[in-house]
Amino acid sequence: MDLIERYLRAVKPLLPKAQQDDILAELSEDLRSQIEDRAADLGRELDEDEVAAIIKKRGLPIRVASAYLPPQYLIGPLWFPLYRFILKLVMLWVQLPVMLWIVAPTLYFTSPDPKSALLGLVSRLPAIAITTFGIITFIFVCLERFQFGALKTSLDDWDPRSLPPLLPVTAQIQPALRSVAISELVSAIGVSVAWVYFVRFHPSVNFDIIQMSLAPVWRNNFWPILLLFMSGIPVGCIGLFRPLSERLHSSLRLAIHAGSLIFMAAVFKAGTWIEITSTKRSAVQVAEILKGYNLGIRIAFVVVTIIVLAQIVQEVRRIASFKTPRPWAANGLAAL
Amino acid sequence: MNSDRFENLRLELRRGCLVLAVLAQLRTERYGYVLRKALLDQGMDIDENTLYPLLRRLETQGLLVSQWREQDKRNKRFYRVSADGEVILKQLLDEWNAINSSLNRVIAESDAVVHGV
Repeated sequence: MDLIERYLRAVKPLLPKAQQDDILAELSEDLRSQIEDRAADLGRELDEDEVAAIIKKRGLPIRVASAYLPPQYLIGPLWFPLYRFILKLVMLWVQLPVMLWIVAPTLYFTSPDPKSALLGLVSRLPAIAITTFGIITFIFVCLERFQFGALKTSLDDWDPRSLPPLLPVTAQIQPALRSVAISELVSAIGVSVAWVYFVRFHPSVNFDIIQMSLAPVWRNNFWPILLLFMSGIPVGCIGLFRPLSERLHSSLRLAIHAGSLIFMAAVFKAGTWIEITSTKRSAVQVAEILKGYNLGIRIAFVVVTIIVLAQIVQEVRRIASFKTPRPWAANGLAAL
Repeated sequence: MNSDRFENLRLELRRGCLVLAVLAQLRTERYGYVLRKALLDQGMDIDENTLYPLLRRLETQGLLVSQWREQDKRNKRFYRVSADGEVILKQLLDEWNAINSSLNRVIAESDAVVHGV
């Protein structure tokens, strides 16, 4: 019987406090009844192995206790899809682009020690990500615990007639992904702000031994380039608020990509995109550094051009696919 | 793989029936161990870790009442159906019979189609 006592002692702390004694008394009684019955069948007392077998069959203490506990989840099935969507949206499509395109460049160009500043940012990234994860999770846990009843009522109160209309069979369109639209919007805003900030307010950066500034070609094309960056904002808005206007969406993206190529060609012709001055290095050394930077930018131009060309091909194929019929259109499922 | 799928579906099928079986058996007062044996004798094997929490849940819902009493020099918790439990049991039995009849008709019809009877 020592085994039973040890088993009960292991189960006890895992049970709901208010019911511990009651549940344990019933569990103890049940085990003793089983042992008595088995002993009566065998006509003798059970040995320790036989008692252990009965207890083992009942299960691990945690398994026994878990059956008495209330449902244990932080976020239930009703909220979980939205929680996952928001988490992905904020961490992947807002936080990451902001870090990469705004915080990191700002630190790099404004800090007296850019390398340390960037390393410091990288070392803080896990803590920032965990904090964001914790805050979003906490909000949804609160919604799960306190708002479930109100939400349940509002979930029942819906009208099927408010569902988005079906498209005509000829318009075979895949609705724009919300996450892609949001990323387009955030990117356009971020890049536009960064462009204004650097070109208008910080056109040159002092790196102690050299002073680096943007070549006139950037300043001369400030407004056209800003317009090009900002054109991503209406594209993102269309994808977000008019997801079914995919033809318009793709056409605009195609126009922006084409515009980008034209501007890149114009800027590329300049041949020099960065200017460097230094009072601590010789003219030859400065020329060498300048050559290195401009070569890096030239390579970046080639890479970006290839990416933009690939995006143009992708958009053209998408627009062409809008008219391709689908086999299930005949079943009235064309627009699904 | 198939046996896992069958086991999951079997458990799902039995889940609702257990409440019915327990309530029906507890029209006569019984304590947990005897109840489990009685159900087993009728071909309804319920795991203890399912039965005891279920008894507690049904009691919380007011469908069962329980009482600790001494029997054979040991304290045992005896359960029986409450007045509310009787009403619910009757409604559940009506529902069960309706489901059973419908199911039999559905199966008979599909058998007739498959075997061309």
